[in-house]
Amino acid sequence: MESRTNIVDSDEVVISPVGNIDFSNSQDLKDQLLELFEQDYQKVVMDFSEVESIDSSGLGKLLLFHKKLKEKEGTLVIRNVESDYIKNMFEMIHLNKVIEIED
Amino acid sequence: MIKTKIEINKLGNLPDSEMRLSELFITLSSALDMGSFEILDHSRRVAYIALEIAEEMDLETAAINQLVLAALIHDIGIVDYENKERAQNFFQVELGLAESHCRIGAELTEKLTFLPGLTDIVYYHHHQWDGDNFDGIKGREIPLASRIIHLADRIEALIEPENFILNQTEDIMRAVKSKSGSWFEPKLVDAFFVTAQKESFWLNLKVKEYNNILAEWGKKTKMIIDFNDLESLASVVAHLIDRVSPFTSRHSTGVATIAAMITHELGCSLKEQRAMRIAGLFHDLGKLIIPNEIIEKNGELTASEFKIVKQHTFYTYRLLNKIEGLGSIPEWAAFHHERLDGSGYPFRIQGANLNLGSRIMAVSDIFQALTEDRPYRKAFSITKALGIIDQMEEQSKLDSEIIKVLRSTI
Repeated sequence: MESRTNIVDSDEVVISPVGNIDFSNSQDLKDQLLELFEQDYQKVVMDFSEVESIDSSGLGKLLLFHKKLKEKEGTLVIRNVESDYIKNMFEMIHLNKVIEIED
Repeated sequence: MIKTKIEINKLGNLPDSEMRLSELFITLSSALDMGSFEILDHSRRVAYIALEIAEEMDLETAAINQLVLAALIHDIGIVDYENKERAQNFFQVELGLAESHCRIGAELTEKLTFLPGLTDIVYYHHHQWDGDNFDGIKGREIPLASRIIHLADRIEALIEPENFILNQTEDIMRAVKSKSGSWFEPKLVDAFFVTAQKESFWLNLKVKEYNNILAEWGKKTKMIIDFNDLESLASVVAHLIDRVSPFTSRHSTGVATIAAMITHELGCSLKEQRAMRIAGLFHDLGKLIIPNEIIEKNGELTASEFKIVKQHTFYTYRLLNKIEGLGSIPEWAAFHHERLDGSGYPFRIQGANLNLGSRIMAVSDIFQALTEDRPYRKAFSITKALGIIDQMEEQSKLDSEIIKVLRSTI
């Protein structure tokens, strides 16, 4: 899937996916995230400002990635959630209490 | 218990499009009334008293339905057992407690967007008729349903379960009369006095006949309930669990998310994924009955504590299964400790009777539990968790296909 990666410093990286995170591309996203994981960033920020929707597959992969990072004492942060649909979804299933979501 | 033959390769059944609101709300109200070790009936008893008063007043069906639904969840804003005791067993409730639980209750009720009328009713259910109320609202500015619930709630608080009910009626009526015109609207007190003349009104409370009366009332509450509505209800349940045990609530979110993902990877439809997520949010509903000291105990459980914990899936099933039309959601949610070899609990169901959805929930629950921190241990690594799950697979406890799918997503 289309996304931009912006390295803040050796500890922190920002990845900005674009469009819908769904079954057709969540594998790509997972591969991109794993690559960042291998590079040992302590903090991975996902900028959701251009993400329009996310399906069950995408949500599951975010949760698993959060777990992997946590194992290495790292953190996953999701920021700039613009879509009301996604905001509601995170709140509805209480995922905002598991993964850090910044306003 | 298993009514139809299970096709283990099928996920199970989706919920129907129509359900009785009464059943959804009675389950929610039972969850609210769960105390440690027992389910109390305060909310249902208040709903029954409110229903009797409303019928005496000849209110229209739609108004009665809204009143009884709101009465079933009127205390949804009470946060802990101590406050529950203070609000439900004493005639006079402190202003601070009245205000706080009405505000929190209205905020939670607002999330049930398919029933917009209930929010105000819950918000005003401690407002006094001539009141020195926290926002200055009084008299007919208070919704009628709130005025009725206020009266019914205070009557219920006066009943002493340990004494014969017919010996209490005069004292209760005297106490209510003394607050007519101040706490309560006189017209409502009059209606209650007519109802209270009937011994049957009191005896229905004594012998729990109110359950049947509410079930009969509920037949008229069937309506279209879509996945948004169900998910908002599941979300409110998750809030209830969260305020008792944030740990359990985060666990439910994780299980719901992983179960929906696996359902997706197995090629199931969007509706099926969503139904599984809802079941995941509900799966530990029965934990509300487990004392929090046990759930958050900082150490391994003793044998007798574990027996107490083991009841939780029984209650999850009993509560959800009272709702007709939920499809396989009660089974998906409640059978997550059953094992394919029949060694699970509490129903000891064999694999031949566990559908795909229940198998997915079992794997999701274990994976999530192993990979999260417990009060007495750190989270296991994903690799270690998968190793433990593999061992369970070798012992024919868990479904190997589902484990394969989980592994492929990591």
